[in-house]
Amino acid sequence: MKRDLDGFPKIGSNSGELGVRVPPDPYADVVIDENGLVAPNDRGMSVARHWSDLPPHRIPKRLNNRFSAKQRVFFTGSNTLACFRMGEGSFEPGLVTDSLALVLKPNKIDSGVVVPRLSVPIRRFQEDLAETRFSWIQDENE
Amino acid sequence: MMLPNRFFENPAFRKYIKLLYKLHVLIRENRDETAEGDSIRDQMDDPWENLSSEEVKCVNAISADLHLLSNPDRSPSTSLPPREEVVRELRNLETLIRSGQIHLAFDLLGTLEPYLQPARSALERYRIWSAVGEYEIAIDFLRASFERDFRTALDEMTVGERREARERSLGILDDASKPPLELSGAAIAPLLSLCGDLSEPESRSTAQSILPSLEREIGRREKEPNADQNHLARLYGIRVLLLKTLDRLDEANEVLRSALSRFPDDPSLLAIRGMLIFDRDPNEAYRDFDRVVASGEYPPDVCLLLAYRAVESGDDRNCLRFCFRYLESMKALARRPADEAMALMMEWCAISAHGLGWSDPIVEDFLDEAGRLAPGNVKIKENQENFSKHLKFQSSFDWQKEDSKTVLQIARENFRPAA
Repeated sequence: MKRDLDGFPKIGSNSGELGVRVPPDPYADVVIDENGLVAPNDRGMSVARHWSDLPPHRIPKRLNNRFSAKQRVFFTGSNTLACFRMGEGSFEPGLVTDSLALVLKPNKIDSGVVVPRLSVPIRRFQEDLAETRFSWIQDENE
Repeated sequence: MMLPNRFFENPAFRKYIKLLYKLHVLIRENRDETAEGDSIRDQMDDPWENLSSEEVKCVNAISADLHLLSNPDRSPSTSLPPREEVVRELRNLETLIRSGQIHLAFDLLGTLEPYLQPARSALERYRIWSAVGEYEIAIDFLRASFERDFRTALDEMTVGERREARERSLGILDDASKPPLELSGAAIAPLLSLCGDLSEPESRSTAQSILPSLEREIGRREKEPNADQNHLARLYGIRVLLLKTLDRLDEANEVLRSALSRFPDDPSLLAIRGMLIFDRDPNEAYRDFDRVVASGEYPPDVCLLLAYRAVESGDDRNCLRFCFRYLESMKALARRPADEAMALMMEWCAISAHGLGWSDPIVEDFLDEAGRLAPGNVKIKENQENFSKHLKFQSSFDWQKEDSKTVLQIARENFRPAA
């Protein structure tokens, strides 16, 4: 995610921000129903078990220096991004906060999406995600 | 049970690879931290979600390979001599490519990497990418292969492969539906390099095909506020040479005049002017060449002609200097000199060494090397015989030297500014 001036994730509804992209963004992360609600399904804010489990085009290029010599890979993500960790627990489906839950992506154990626990208006979902801001710690260790 | 489509049969895999390549091109040109770069990354999310773990491993390795295109320093710097095992594995690689087992071909090439010359491994990647029909990526690897060691790469290619590579390069240049010109820009260099064995009509038709893309590329670079001026001057130089190939001499002269008025000290443009006017005004051409080397650039073709001037005028010290500069430049360009050019260098080293009073065995060694490299060269043979007689009977003799036309021809053989 993008790092804000205070070192925590930048809140927003663009790519690389703490929040989800919404329609009509062609790459919207969620579907909003006719009542303006976001349902707890498999769509939400993408997260991964460890930053090295993220898609390489989302891992900042500057991390190549310390990682890719050990493995055949080259990260192509923007250097405006930083990798953040939330919490200490294992990466398993379940509640993340009172209002948010983690759902694993189909056939994946290392990546998932953060979704609303219940159907909520999109604005509420964005606010719930924004509330986690200070729980994220920049962690780019291997 | 039918297996799902995997790797290049998987549309998500192919789409991801195409976007990954575009992103690497932007990274190479320092243009990825832009809205265009972000848009490509956004487009990559969806296909990424549809990759299996094996496919993820494969695209990661491909990303590392694509990075080598812009960072040749990361290629292995030392190569081990070919071993039977490597030769056998290269045959296996060919089989894998032919049978469409591309991910296994990538794996095998990855393990062979430390044993291959960088030019060879880039060439094998050209072959893999050609086999899967991704010609833009393929041609980019061919460019990389030529840049690492032009002659090795060319020697490894069959006549059919060279023809195919030319056609593919032209196909990329002709594809007007591809908006990012930098992709087609990558095709220009290999294409020019592959034109050496073309007949005159073929060269003309190739030049005709390249010119519009090159002019678009120049137009695009002209509009960039921070365009690399050296690169722009080089593109103008290529344009001059293409116009000359098409016998559009007035235009070529006009472009050259205009480019030189804008970049009066650009060594590549001065070198081109010198080469073009050498026939009719060698003194003026040498003035250009002197300016080229005064700028600290030592293009091999220019060094060869300056060494020739020095040997003709008995300036032994400068002759040796430019012979060595020629060899250094070829090494820096990772290009092996043609045998006939190398033979001239050795012969001139012999003449200069003799003039400077170096010991006879050194002079003899230079001559022997020249004779070995160009066994059919009559003048070298004559010099060898005369020098042997001189050693035996202390007879006086005159060195036989090539005429300027022959030397110019050999220098022009090296004169491939895009290679």
